[in-house]
Amino acid sequence: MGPPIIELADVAKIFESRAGATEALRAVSLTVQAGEFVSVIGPSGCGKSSLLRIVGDLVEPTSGIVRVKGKSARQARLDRDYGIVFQTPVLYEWRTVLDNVRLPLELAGRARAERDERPRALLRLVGLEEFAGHHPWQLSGGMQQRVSIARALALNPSILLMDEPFGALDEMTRERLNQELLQVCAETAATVVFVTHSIAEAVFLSTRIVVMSPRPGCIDRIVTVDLPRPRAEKTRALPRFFELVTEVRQSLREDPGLGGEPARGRGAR
Amino acid sequence: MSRVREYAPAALVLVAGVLAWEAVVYLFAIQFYLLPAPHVIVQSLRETYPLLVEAGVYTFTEAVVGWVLGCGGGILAAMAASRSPELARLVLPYAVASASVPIIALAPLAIVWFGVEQGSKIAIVVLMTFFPTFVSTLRGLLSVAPQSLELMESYAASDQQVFWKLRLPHSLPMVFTSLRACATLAMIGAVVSEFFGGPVKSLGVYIKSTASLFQTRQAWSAILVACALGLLFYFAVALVERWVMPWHFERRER
Repeated sequence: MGPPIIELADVAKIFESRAGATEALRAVSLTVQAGEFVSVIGPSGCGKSSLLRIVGDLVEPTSGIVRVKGKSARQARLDRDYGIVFQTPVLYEWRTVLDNVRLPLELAGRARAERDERPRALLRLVGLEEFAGHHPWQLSGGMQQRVSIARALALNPSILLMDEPFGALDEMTRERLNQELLQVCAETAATVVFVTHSIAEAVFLSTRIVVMSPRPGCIDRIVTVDLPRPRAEKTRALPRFFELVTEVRQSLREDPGLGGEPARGRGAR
Repeated sequence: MSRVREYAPAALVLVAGVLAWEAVVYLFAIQFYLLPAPHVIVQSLRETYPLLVEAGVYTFTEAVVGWVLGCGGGILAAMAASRSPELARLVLPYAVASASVPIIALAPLAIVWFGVEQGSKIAIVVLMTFFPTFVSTLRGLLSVAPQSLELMESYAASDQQVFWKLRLPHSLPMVFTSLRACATLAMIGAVVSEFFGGPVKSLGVYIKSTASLFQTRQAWSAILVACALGLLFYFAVALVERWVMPWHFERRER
């Protein structure tokens, strides 16, 4: 194993507000190796989104150390090492699908040729080539999220941060996009940190699953997923798949005051 | 074809209204100086049209110049204020409050300051259009969704890039709503300012002087010209709006 690509040491986050201080994360330590697909799972309010934002330098930790590719998270962000996919697609409605994918290339001041060719190649990768000239609202929710994945890949980031990207989609679309995501990741060799509510999704996608408990958010357990790769539809039928789902579910259930798998979709938004 | 069908009922209402007006004047034998029948107004329009064109151009120029300066200034001031949210918080309450100030009340004073010619009217129109545009633009620039900003942040976008690629396009619908409303305001401001004094060949002065001489049909024909110019102004702005942000309308029409 080489040096870890992401290193969190004793990270804590306390949000101060008028209502008082909320401890969102306590003593979170985690290392992620290059090429890993790490899912973070836990009930609402366990700080998993905060954790993702701390890795991406969108939120500053109250204490603790975050190292990304041997640099500070800030430096990694300034070096544009991240591609981020949010819960909602966050597409700009005044831009066409193609221009939305092109945005990161414009922001990074990439050369003309790359700005012209790369977005088309990415749309091909997510199967939306023929929608290049459409505007976001003309696309279904699943398609919009694929555009946002294409955009996240625009600068060939070494790290992909995904915050419940498929949480708002129906089960069938979600499963199809899970499959597509693995293919995309295989082609781009990005390291992925993936926040989710869905146990099946986490087991299907991940090399490791970080199970978190709430108030304050901390890591309960890390489950290593030893399912064969590449994963395909038949993976979901393997006995080992069900064992792992059960294992993760039980880890979540062990938490007092928590009713096992959280309701499908999202709780309080 | 669908357009015709869409607007036909509204056009019928207009025709019916004009006919009813004619009928009321005829049936109740209303004195012409109280309410002239539409055909009398049209006739007067035909007789006095060279004068009305001249007066219309004069007044319309005030409205357009004032609108350009007022709205342009409002947009630029909002862009500057958006750079510093603290400053924006400081001035926004006053800008909002100015909406309830009857700026037209300053018209007599504007004549003292800027003379009886177009300058004083333009000044009033500038004041009337500056604040609403400032408020709308500033709100548009600052009301960007937090996630849209996070996206920009995650790509280490510069302030310039955030402004040109996110804040400005996001604010356009609100800016144009204000630009359209201000086109109407500008025409009102110009005509009403002229009531307080101005050259004879301006719509406001012409309406006021003919009305006070009971030359009601002449007054009405000038009012008609003012209405037409106001509508022209409004629709010209609406046309530019469609051209600048076609995505906004495609979406609405779906």
